[in-house]
Amino acid sequence: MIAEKHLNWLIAALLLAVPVCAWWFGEIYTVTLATRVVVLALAGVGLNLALGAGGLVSLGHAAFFGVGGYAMGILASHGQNYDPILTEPFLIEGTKSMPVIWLVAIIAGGLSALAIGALSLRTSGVYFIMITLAFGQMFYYFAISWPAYGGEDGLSIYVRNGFPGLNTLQPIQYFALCYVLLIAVLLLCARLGASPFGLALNAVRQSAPRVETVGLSPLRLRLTAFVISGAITALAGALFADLSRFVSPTMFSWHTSGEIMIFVILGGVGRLYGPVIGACLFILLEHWLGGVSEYWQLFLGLLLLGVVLFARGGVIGVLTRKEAGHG
Amino acid sequence: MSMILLIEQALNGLQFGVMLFVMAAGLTLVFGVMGLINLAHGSLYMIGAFAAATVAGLTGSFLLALAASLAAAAAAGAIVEIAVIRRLYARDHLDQVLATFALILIFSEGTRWLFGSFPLFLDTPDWLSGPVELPGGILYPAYRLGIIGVGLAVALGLYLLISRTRLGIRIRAGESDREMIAALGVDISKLYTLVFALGAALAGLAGALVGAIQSVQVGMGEPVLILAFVVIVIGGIGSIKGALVASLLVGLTDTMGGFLLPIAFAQVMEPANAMLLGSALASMLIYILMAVVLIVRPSGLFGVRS
Amino acid sequence: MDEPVLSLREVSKTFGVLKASDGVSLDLRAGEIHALIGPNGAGKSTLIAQIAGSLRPDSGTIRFAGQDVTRLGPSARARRGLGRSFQISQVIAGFTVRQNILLAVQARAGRAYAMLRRAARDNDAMQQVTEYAQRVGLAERLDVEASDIAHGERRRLEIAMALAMRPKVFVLDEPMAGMGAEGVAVMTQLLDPLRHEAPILLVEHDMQAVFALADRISVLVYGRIIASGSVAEIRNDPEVRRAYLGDEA
Repeated sequence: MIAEKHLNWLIAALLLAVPVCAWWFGEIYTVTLATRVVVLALAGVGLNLALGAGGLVSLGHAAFFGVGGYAMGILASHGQNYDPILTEPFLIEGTKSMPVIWLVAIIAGGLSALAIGALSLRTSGVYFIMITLAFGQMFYYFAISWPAYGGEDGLSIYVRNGFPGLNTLQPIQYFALCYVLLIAVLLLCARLGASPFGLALNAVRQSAPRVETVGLSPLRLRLTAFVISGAITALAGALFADLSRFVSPTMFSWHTSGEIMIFVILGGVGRLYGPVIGACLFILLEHWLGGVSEYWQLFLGLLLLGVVLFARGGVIGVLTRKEAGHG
Repeated sequence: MSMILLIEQALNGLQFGVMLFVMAAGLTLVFGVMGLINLAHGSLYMIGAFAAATVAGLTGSFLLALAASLAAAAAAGAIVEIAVIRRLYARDHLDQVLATFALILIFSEGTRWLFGSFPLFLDTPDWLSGPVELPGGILYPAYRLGIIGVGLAVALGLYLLISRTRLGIRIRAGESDREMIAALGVDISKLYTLVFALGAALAGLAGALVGAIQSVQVGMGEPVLILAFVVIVIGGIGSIKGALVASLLVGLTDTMGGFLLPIAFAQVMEPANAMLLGSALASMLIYILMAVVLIVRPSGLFGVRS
Repeated sequence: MDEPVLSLREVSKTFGVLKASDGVSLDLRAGEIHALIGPNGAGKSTLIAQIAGSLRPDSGTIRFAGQDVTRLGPSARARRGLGRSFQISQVIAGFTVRQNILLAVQARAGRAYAMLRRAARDNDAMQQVTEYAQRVGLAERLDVEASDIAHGERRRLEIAMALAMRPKVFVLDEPMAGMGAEGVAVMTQLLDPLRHEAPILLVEHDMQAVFALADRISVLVYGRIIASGSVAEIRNDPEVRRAYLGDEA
């Protein structure tokens, strides 16, 4: 059996090596596929913070993914048309600059998570699941019925946004950018897990009364984690939108929430690299099974059912033979 | 704005509400008795609709189609309960969410495989297809009135079942104390299968009834499922009475909001903008309603405080 | 005389028809151990929950450290200096002894929201953790998970976490529950000097321990305090003997 730390290094190395090799041999499609993995993994890393560390079963993370996507879509569509978003009372212009778009996505995602979290964290258990799901759906319907940014049809961005010093149109450069962001966020999450806040959040998941007794508010701790979680998933949403140069209400759909959750579960809940390995597996399955049968999601469903019923640590759990959920 | 139009919309809201109730009642019963969150409830709704469309296509009989929807959904429910769901009662909610999400994928893709991606159509029966004249000269489709009638009958039936029958006593006992009911010699696993199949049959019935006014297609159960969740959150988990009140509230809010908000906004702004803003806001109205209920009563209108 | 550190006035709480707390008034003064005893079902746990803030009284007031805290929640009261232990141990089972105490130390120091520094590298906090562990005799057990330590050790871990809060009062709910004679002796020795750090409200079933430790005893029966006084007074109170000690004489 492998130590989890070594397995993590291995995953990170492979995730870098495969697309670089593919690029070398001119397999551009593989590079794009790997970028998809990286971006979706990032969305899962965001959810994992709420789900794994905080024990919050959110079925509404598509809301943050979509908010990030639309942050990109709105800024870039105004940017490409040189048409300011707002002229009164002050001027806000669109932009095609990735760092600015990321920042806006992170802030918008965090604020949405603050609003949804403040309402839904008043409850727990099944209520929390249903409420996050419902609020996610609210964003979905709003995106469909608000025609200014494409409504049901979505919104196309013709040229990928720019990053200073890089040619983001080249697939391997955009991959590198996303990969660096993923690794940075993973390092941040590792640090967070080992920090006093990580300790307190972990404690809340296990015993809220104990945490109150040492003078901490479980609600505030959970809300803080939920906001960070939403912000990370929103960043992933912005990257995803830039990858496909298209945003649509589908990003808000509850199937997206379900899929982000599947990444986390396939890899192993509460494990730092769980979402990364889960997203790899999901994309590979989609690719392979999708080639075999049009109805590949049927097999995905069977596989997921098998993992839930019989292999609860996810892939990392199976490879390391360690119980999930601690640490 | 004419009065007749308003009453028509109110009736539409009522019809929407009672169908939500038939859907939510099974969901809240399963949660109350077994403590299980079942995302695949929408799939049972879909199965009912497909069964009805198939049987109606073969026999031409709407009543046979309805019977088929009940039977198919109940059978699917019982099989799923025995094969998968009963392994989940002792698991945490996360496992329940994932396993039932997996069931949705299996059911949706399986149905697509069998029936293809094109929607099926289920016609309303001839004897219910015309309008009925209501007092005040309002013409309203007989079929929709029929749906309202069926929904109210289901509500009454559930009330009688739970308050008057031996099964109802066991269901109520199962909600409060599992060990107690097992100690009394009731076969708990048979009871659970029965309750699950009952909830499934109701979902299947709702699917068939709504299938005749909309189209029968893969994924049709999911928007309804999420609305049923909103209903349960507003009404309070496990409460049939709460589900009824909340269903009607949600049905009326959604329908009347979509109708009235654009008109209301038109009083203060240009019609085009009013239409836009009104319908966008109307799409969010029931979620705003849910948020307000959460702020005032976090455990729902009829929920017990934990 | 100084104002009591903790004082309850006419605190009442009703569940349906059951009066769990029926006009309870109670003081805890600096330097004392005030024991609260009573038969099972007398309403001790309900009263503790109201003092700790997890249950709100229907009427009456609770003052703590010179402020009315009746409407504050448990974490706000803990921040004001109320350190409690639970009847059924509430330590974090998946944490080591060290992590459990560290949680309390960092919360007390206001560092619980620090996200970028490593919890384990906080030398000052780690030193405090060792100190508190030593005081309760768990210095050798710091790296054992709380789910793997003995019952008596878990009770002492709760005391260590309460100590780490540097509280103004201790509210201890049956710290000796489920312990053998030896464990009770160790706990008694541990609690005895604590009263000089902060007064203790002690709910306890073990009468020997109560008589050995308490400066004052209040007796709760059916949600009411039927007697309050020194150990000797309570021992000889005929009503207490009848209602509680089961004495027929």
